[in-house]
This record gives sequence, structure tokens and C-alpha cells, in this order.
Amino acid sequence: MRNALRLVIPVLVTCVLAAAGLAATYAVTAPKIAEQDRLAEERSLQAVLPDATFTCLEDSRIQADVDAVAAPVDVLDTFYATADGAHAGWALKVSSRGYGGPMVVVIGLDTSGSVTGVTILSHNETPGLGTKVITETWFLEQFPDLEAGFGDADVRALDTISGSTKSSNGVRNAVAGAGRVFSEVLSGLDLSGLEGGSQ
Amino acid sequence: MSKSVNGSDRIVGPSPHIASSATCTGIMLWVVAALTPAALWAVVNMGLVAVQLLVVTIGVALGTEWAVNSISRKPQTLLDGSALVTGLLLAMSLPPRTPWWMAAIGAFVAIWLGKLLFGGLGHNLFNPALVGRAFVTLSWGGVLAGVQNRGWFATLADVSAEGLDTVSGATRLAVAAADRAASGGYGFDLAAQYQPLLLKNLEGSLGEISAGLLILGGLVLIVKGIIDWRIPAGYIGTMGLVSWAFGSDPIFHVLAGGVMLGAFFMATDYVSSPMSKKGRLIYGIGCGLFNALGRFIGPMPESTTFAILFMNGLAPLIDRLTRPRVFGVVKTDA
Amino acid sequence: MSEWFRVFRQGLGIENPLTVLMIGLCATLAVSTQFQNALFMGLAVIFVLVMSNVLISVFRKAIPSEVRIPIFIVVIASFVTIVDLVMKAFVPSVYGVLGIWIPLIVVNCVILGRAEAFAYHNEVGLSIADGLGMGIGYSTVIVLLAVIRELLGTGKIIWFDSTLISLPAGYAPPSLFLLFPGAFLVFAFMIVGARWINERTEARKEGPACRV
Repeated sequence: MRNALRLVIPVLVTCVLAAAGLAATYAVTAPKIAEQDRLAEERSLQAVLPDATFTCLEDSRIQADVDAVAAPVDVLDTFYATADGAHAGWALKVSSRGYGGPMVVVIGLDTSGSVTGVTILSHNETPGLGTKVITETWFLEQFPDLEAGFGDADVRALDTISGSTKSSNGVRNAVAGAGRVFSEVLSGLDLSGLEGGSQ
Repeated sequence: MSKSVNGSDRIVGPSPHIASSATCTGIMLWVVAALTPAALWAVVNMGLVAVQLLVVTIGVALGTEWAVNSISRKPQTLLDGSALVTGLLLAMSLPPRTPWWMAAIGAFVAIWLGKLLFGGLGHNLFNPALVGRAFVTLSWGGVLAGVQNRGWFATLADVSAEGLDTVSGATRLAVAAADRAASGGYGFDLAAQYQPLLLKNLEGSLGEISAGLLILGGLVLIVKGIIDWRIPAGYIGTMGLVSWAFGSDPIFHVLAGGVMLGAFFMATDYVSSPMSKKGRLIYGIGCGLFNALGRFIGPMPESTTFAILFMNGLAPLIDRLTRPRVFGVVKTDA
Repeated sequence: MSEWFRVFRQGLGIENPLTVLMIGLCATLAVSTQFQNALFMGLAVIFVLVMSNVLISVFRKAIPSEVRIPIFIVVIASFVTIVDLVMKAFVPSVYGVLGIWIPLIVVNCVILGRAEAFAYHNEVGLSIADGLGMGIGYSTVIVLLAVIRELLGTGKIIWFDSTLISLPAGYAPPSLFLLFPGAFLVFAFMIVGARWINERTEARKEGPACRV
């Protein structure tokens, strides 16, 4: 018994001290981290649909439809955008598979469903290789060419970056998924309960 | 530090230690001779760009061998012909419009990194030409893909009009891979490709010009006893079988891409392939298996280079597994 | 003082964790694609290494040897989590790339290895020397590796949004150096270089280097 205590107490003390240290660090950094995450999200939303205000759609009823339509990509959040009190479009936060794991892509759509902009919120791509989808700006800039009612084939017709095919395809799949979500779910949504949605 | 082998008074050459009338140079010259028809046919059909590629890779390969040997004060090994073969094989594995500097770097890497750093001919684990090619493809895959469709092939213009995406280096295999990815089927008739692939095919690398001429050269080497039939037979047989198992046309997949060049000329390299007969068959089957798997489920349309390099790495293990029956047991059959 | 300096120097040269002991390579090869990431990875390792060495050395008499490994791991994991949270809060752009590798510092053999092999048996001053030497030795190699890979593989060196060095415009960067084969290739040459340097510097001293 005494021997057991001799072993248990040091481990216990270490764990308690470690937990206390981590709790203190967490208390200091948590607001800062939340702020950073919010800023990053805000920046990417503004980039795809400038000068709009965003409300996250928290409607569990549509989520099942969205998930079914979006596969193989995941829609993390759907934002309803308004500008000057009127419905301005949608922004979708989509998680898609790149070369180095999941990449989170934000896609902006106007009310008719044409793409207004695409940005990458987070990724794990190889620096200098997969990250060309960000640094070679023409790549993301070709997505706003997609007109209302675009389908998977239209997305596939866009160019990929040679040498970064998997990363390029990650972005393209995310955009194609967003397109499907718009045409199958969002375009038929009753907007009356939403601010500026009476048009 | 122990004294290096070359520094001691006895020099042990690399294995196999088998007395044979065939000299190294003789073997290498036969390989060059067997490749020459295909190389000449490529020059005739692809023009001066093919000549430039051949001159650059062979010249740089020979030059590197000479320079590195001179600097490290080793005996000159230029005349064993292996650098010539490496340069020639590298040229045959690259598309004709490969930029000259890229071909030169490939040849330098092949000889220096692929062979001399390991200790020279006989000590290298991997086929030097494939090391050079792997370096070039991994480094400038995008550039290589780009040079292939700069209006060089008339037939390709039709393909891209049909909406070829993702793959920008559109060889026939790339088109096939893109078709598979899009619809699971093929947008063109595979059987109609047999004849061009066998006789005159302008898509892809120099060595893809004519599978027929490569087969002819390979058969000559087999008949002369320079290469073992087990490697190409295992390679090509498995390639066809796996392609068939994936529901595709086995003949097309055996003729297209780098299979013939790989099976007859690359995988059969003495140094980097196993020594026992059984081992060679296993090795050939492995090459074919990984080549086919690479094509059907890999990220690139063609994978000959990496299939053979991978099996090169396994060759010493295959030797270990297959040799004890001959040397280890008291019971002898020789 | 000379003993302190001797211990410190070992981590840099003859017992360098990367080029001589060759431990913790997985994260090293994965992270060393960019100078900026490698530098932060190196700093994180130095911090965790020194802090865990100090703590374990101070309490080495109170830690029963039967349960020392769990205690080491808890200590190391705590410091790693602190680094993780701090990076996330203050350098989110670096955290975005290093994210998955930071928690893996916990299982990086360099740190547990030094706690076990050094800090548990030596007094605090020397443990700091060991932690600093090993940490700086690790960082020097990973940063050098990253500089070579980034410069050759992309033609420039980036520090956040600015370009520090860039090669002439005609340079077509071989992306091989950004991939794993390139990492192994460059690392192999660095091992050769380290051997060469170690043999030169140690030849003047007595006896061969002690290898763990």
C-alpha cells in the first residue's frame, strides 16, 4: 500500500500541476484564438462577397438535404448574406479533400447562383506546390466566370495548376458541391423568415 | 575510417562473380544496337528535336562520367559503355520537346546520383536512367506536360476540343485515364490504337514511337542471351492480366506508354535486377503489377518509372529470398 | 563552466539529434519545406526541450523511476500544448501550416530521449545546457534544410508576406525538393557535411565521439 502511494502521488501531483498550467494558458489564449478564427472567417467572407452582412443559417431541417447533395464534400456552414437590407446572396464554408488533407474553401454565390468569389480559409497543402492554388491568383480568379445554373461539368472545364492537380481538384470539388447545394436546396428555400428576404 | 576497397591491394569487383566470355562493353553495345532502330525511327518521324534530345542526354551522360571520375581520381570507365546506354535510355524515356537544360540535368543526375555516388557501375541500387527520369518528372512535371501539347500532335487538338480536363500532358494514356475518371469508360476506340502504337505513335516520349521496334530489339537481346526472358515476360504478362482484371483492354495497356521500353530495356538492367531465375520472374511480375496499379489507381497516367524503381529497391530482398536454395543448403544441384 | 559548455556543444555537433542521432526525422522532413515554418518548429522544440529538461532535472529525486516515463510524457505534453495554444493565438498563419505537427512534438524522440538520458541523471545547470544544445542543434539543421529546400524548390525564401531572397527569373524550380524524395536527398548531403565537420573538429581531441 505504501509502495503504491509512493508511485501514485508523484503522478497525481504532476497531472494536477499540468492541468492547472494548461488551464491558465487556455484562459489567456482562448479569447485571442476565438478572435483570430472569427477574423479569418470574416476576412474570407468579405473577400467572396464584399460589403455584405452574413448570418449563419442554423436550420437543422435543411442540413440533411445539404449534406446529401454536397457529397463528397462537406458543407460546414451556410451563410445568408444581406446588403443594404436586401438579400445579396450566399456564402458556403465547404471542407474538401486536397493533397495534404482537408482544405476549407469559402464560396460566395449571388442570389441567382453565379459564383462571386472563392477563397481558401485553411489548408494543409505542400508549401510552394499545393499552395499554388492560392499564390497563382489566376486559379481562384477563374471561378467567378461560372454563371448561374453552372453544373459539375462547367467546373471541370476550368483549368487546374499542373503539378498541383490534387489541390486544384480539392478547390474545384468544393465549388461544384456549393453549386449543387444552391441549385438543389438554397434556390428553393423559403426566405420569408430572414431579414431582407421578402423580395 | 577503414581503407577503401580501391585503396587496398586487392580489388573485389561487384557481383556477380561469374566467369563469362561476354564483356561488359560487349553487352552494352548490343543494348545500344537493339535500341538504335527505335531511336532512328523516332528521329525520322519527330525530327531535329529528337536529335537534340539524344545528343544532349548522351553527351552530358558521357561528360559527367568522365568529369566525376577525373575529379575523384578514379580509373576512367567511359569505355564500358554504360554511360552511353544510360544517356540513350534517358532520351528514349523523355518527350521530344523536353527543354535541353532539363534533359541535361536529368542525364547529370542519372550518372552522378544514380550511379557514381553509389560507387560506380555495379554498385548502384537503382537503374540510373530511371533515377534521372524520376528526378525530371518529379521536378518539372508541369513543364513536361506543357511541352507535349504545344501543337506538336495534330491528333491531340481533336481530343482537347472534346473537353479534356485535369490532365494537361495529354498522351494517349492520359486521355484514357481522364476518360476513366470522368465516366468509367473510354471516349475513343482502344483497339484502333494498336496499329499506331505498334508502328508509329507521335504522342509521348521518344521510346513510345513504336512498340514493334522495341519488341524486335528486345527479342534480339533475348536470343543473344543478353537479357533474361523472365523479366519482360513476367512484366508484360502481369501488366496485361491486371489491365484485364480492371476491365480494360490488355493489349492497349501493354502497348501504350513506357511498358515495352521498361520491360525490355530498363527492368532488365543487370545491376539493379535480381540474379536468380526465380527472382527475376518475381521481379518482372512485381514491375508489371505496380505499373498497372499505378495506371489504374495512381495519381499519374503512367507509372513505369516508379514501378521499376520500386522493384529495383526490392531486388536485393528478392535475391535473399530466392538464393538460399542454390547456395545455402548442402544439397547441390549444380 | 567548461563542463557546461562541453555538454552544450555536444548537441550542436557530435551528438546532433538530427544528423548524428537521427531521431525525430518524420516531423523534420515534413515541416522543412519552408524557412518560416522550420524556424518556428525549431523555436517550439527549443522551448519544450529546455523547459521539460529543467523541470525533470529539478524534480529528478522526487520522481520514482517506475513511473518516470508517464511523468515525463505529462510534463512534455503540457509544454507542447502551451506552445500549441500560444502559436494559435499569436501566429495563426504559421499555426495553419504547422498545426498537425506541433502536437507531435510530444512524441518526438529528441525530447523524451533527452529527459530520459540526460535530465533525469544530471543537475539543472547541465540539463539546461543539454536542452539548449540539442534544441539549437535541431533548429540549425531543420532551418538549413528548409532554406535549401525552399530556395531550390520554389526559387525564393518567404517570410510571411515578403520575399527575403529570390533567384533570377529564368530559374525553373524543381519541385522535387519540396517533396519527400528531395527532403531525403538534401538531408543525406547534410549528414555527409555534418560527418565531415565532426571528424575535422573531433580529430584534434582525444578519443572518438560517444554515440548513443
